[in-house]
Amino acid sequence: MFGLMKKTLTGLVGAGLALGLTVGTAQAEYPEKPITMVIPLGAGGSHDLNARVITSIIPTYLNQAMIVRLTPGAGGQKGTQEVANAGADGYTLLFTHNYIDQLQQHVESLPYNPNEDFVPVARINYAPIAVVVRGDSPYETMDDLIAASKADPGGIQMAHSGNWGALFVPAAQFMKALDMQWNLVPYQGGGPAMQALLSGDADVTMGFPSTLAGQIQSGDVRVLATAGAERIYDDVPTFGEVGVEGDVGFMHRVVLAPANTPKEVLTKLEEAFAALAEDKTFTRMMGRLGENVDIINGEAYQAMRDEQFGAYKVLVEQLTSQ
Amino acid sequence: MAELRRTPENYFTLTCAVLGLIAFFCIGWLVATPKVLFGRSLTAIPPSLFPQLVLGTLSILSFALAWRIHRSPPDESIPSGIYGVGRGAAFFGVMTFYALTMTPFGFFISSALSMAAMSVLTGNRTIWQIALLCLIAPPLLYLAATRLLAVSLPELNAIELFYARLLPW
Amino acid sequence: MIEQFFEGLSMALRIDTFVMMALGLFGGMLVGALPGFTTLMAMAILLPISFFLDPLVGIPFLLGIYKGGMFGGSIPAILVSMPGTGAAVATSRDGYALTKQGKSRKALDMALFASVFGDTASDIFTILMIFPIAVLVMQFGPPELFAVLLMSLIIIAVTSGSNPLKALIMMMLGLWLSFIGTDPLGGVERFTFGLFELKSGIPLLPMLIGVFAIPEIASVVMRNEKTRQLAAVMGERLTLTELRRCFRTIGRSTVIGTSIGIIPGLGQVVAAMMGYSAAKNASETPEKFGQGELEGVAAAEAANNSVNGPTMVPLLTLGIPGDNVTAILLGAFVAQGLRPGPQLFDEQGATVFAILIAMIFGNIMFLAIGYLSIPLFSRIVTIKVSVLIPLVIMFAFAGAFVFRSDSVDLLMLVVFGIFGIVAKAARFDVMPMVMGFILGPPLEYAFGQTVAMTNGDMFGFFLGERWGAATVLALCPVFGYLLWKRMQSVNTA
Repeated sequence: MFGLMKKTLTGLVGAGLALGLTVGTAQAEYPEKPITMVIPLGAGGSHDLNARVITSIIPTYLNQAMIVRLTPGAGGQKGTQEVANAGADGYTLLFTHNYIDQLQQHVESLPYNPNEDFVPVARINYAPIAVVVRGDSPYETMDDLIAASKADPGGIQMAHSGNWGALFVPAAQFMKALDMQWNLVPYQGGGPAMQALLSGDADVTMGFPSTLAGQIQSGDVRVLATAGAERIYDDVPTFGEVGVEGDVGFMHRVVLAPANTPKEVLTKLEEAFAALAEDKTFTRMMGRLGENVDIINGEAYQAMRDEQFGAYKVLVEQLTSQ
Repeated sequence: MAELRRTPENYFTLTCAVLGLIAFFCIGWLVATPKVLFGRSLTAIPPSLFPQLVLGTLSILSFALAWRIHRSPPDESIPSGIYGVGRGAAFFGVMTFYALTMTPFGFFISSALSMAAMSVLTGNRTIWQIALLCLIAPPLLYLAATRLLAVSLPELNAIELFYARLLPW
Repeated sequence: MIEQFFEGLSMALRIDTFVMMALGLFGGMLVGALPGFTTLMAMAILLPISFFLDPLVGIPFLLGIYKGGMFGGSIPAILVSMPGTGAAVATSRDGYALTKQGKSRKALDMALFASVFGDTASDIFTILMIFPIAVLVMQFGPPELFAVLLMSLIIIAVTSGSNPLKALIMMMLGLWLSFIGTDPLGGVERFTFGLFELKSGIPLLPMLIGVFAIPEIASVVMRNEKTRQLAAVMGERLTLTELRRCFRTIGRSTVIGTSIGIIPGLGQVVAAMMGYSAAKNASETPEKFGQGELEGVAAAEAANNSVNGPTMVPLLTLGIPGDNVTAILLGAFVAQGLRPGPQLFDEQGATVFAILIAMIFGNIMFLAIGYLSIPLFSRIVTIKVSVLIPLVIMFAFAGAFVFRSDSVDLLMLVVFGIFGIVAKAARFDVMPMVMGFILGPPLEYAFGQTVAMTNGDMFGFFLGERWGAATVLALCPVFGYLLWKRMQSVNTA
């Protein structure tokens, strides 16, 4: 029996070595093979949906497929680390958002350094968040809510999508800026948080206007304030107008690449994303998803990243100091 | 008091009991403490609550079971001893090999080698059958997974390029 | 509303819808049959294709993949004791035992009939009662979820297997394993010993394959009967008599599954186990469950499929997806210009009804598709063991890797394989452990949420506002005791 095994094994190993020794050809045009886009979040979320649209259109500009690989876990760290460790050849990209990218490092110790290990390729879009209450709640304006919150510290239930997530951070910023206390109750994502609001378990939550359109129209929810410099709804004040200044409540969806990716590769990618911005089918599909398209290239976004780094550092220090 | 019988059952039960007990008391080392936000803990329940509950219950129940088994007469219906320990060890050797080599060697090579070993282990002596199986099945699965289902399996660059040139897509 | 229904009915009757659904069902079944290659992934990949198709073709296509995939998951569970999802665990119990008895075909047939029946019944129920269900869904929040999960765990511990004490111990073990990693509420590390690999916890699929499939494969390898097949024959088809005998069980399971589907957050795993436990409890021969009882397969399958109907309700009426699958469906709906939410039925009611009706037709089609495919699948057990086992190992390892694209999972697979064998030798049943592992995180999360909501005053909260949850919690020990007594009275022999 051992003779047989030895022969078979030797044969197979020999074949393997022969193949392994086949030297690859010289550096041809990027991309030569499909590109993997890693998403450090779970399936079905807005990132996933955005990515599916991107990866179904961008191959026409890259002449190679782009495959989505979902790697959720450890609050986004698993997928991020995977890309940090991957080869800097442009075949593995990370599709993430600013809270994971710049805020997390101030909250826990990460096995990578977001600013040293990654360079931005393109920011796809951003989503401003809004404070919402139920349509039949007694709070007609943001001021009503603030007054009620101050009168009853910790009595108002706020549903958020997870610690340090896209709903939690603006909420904490609100509480800090307006000197009031909400009772923060976690839910498994924006969807369950909204459901909690509608069922009465929560008094206030936050949501992205794109997903709220149906409920706003039917009157099930009322928007009290929105993020951004300009009003999204005519009769709803912005965060700045109600007293919460600064870069609050924006989730930027951004594509990152490992730090040492060659310049030609990055340029090619940036061109492809720029072309995506002009693509009619792309804008149409994103519009259907309720997302905007505001593609800015890597350099421009890097400036924003630097800003975020400083701002989040201060924010976390302030929030956790007591 | 009679000695505790040396059955797998007893070993298992007592291991659970003892480990549970140790973990229960060492919970501080095993579970980190949450951060604080505005003076209140970021979590409503401490992260060590459920683990301690569970470990404590595990320990208590395991001791209870051990006691019950000790008091009841031995069950003669199960045959003691396992046959084929050598084959069992070889089986796990192959599996461990497969687990450790899939990434460094790539899917094709690690699968082919492991499947060949498994074939021999399960009694196959026909070389051409083994060769056919080990050389055809892994590439088929690999291609179906990566081309049709768009998931990724680890593979050596050289083999990946080989596939890319071999096929039109 | 009624006019919309009939309009939808006429819209649904088109050839391309049926063809694409059939494709989806068949393809989904094949993908579902590969553990690790989840139908969720398949749906996510094919989602963009659905963007370019007519909504009445694209969405039924995705739904077809989903339904096909759910049945597909039962195939390896029954044939090689390799459940790919938690929901298939209950099926693999009796299913694999039947395969070993040479009745694999009957098991697959029963799984098919039970699944289709449960699914169709719950879909019809959903269509008829969509708005009352929407109201019901709103009544359940974290406290209710916690109470029901706790009750389910107690029921599982007491009714699965013959020794509740052992089952509880295994369940505690499973719960503990589920705590390894990052705590779901605060994000702090627990039991990770500083290893990054453990930070996101132990993955489910390698554990399932490891504790259920590997010990069985190992026992075949260690016995080494050379030309042995996994089973002597693939067996005959299910007979009408056998099916009729299980009608009551299927009916009961469907009701259980649908009810569980209404409570957001429970899911197929709880449904399958509750259906299984209920059938075992109601049967005159509970000791046969686990040894190859067709009723067990019927109960688990009918229950886990009837969860689907009500799960769609929050998606359709509020635009809020309850799980990953409905999230993808949301994407599909939205991309097609259908806005799930309060407006949906006013504006596009006919289209929605058409899709739901197509879903029902799809189920019925699947009866044929599945029935014709089963002989092919059940033939697998007749492949020579020395060829089948290497293939199964390859699929198992590939699936374990693909699950999280992490080679550490392969080692987890081996470790859990060893554990499975040890547990088998120690005569401990691994099913309660797996259930504890799956249900641990939602249980803890719901509890944490509940405590957060109460703001300190737990007693007052439960008695004042959430008396439903309080009642269930109070019933837990009662149920536990009653069921324990019942199991004991049957088992004393």
